[in-house]
Amino acid sequence: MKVIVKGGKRWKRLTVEIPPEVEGRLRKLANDYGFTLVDVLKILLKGDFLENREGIRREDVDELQRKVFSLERELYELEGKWSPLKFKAYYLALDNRNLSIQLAAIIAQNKRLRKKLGLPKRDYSEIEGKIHYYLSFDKSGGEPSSE
Amino acid sequence: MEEKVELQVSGEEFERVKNRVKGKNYLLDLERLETTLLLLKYRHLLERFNEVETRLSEVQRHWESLVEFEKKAKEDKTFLMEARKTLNEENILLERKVMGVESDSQRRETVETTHG
Repeated sequence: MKVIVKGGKRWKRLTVEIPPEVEGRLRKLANDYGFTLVDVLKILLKGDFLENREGIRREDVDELQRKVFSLERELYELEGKWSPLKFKAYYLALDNRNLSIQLAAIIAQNKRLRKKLGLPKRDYSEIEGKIHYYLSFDKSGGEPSSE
Repeated sequence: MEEKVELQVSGEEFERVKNRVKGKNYLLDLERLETTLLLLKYRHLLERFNEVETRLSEVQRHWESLVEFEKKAKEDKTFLMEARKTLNEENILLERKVMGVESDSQRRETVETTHG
């Protein structure tokens, strides 16, 4: 394999001949560690090596890879369940919004009738709290900010 | 046909490559290359692990609040439907009473007018 290195202001060129056995080794390393052959060649030819001060072993990489896969799977599963539940919650909140509109009218009628008949006022505070909550429900999909 | 690969490097890097290639010593650095690739891969995985962990905890937090919201909305729906039923029934009864009161007073007015 021939590697043509170009660089500098005048676009200097240098041709490096890589022996077949070394090329095979480089391709295997690139494949094993998930790099491109160009990246591997750059590191080798420039001599940009790292010192293994932490004593990282191949097993540590494999173990970390397994942990990443496992976390990713957990994340994708949760994201997959997310949309159906969001859809369900949204339509429940819309139902409650419609019920709240109806109840606001029913309460007004109840107040009027009770007044007419001289009956004591009824306590609507719990219902009114929920009405207020669902009438502030944002139809674009947001939940009400507070009760 | 022999494969050709092109590498673009800076001026300073070009000189470094030239010097390394001159003595062919670079061919002896395959062990160091493998260690470097191992460390780069480890760093990349560590970064990815932290990213996914952060995202997962965010999604879990939102998920819990969504589950809670859905549960509350379900309970509220039952409550609001029950309240609608109770108040509707009460309004029908009160409406009847009001009608009764109104027709009584109308009757009384008619009697008073006739006898008056």
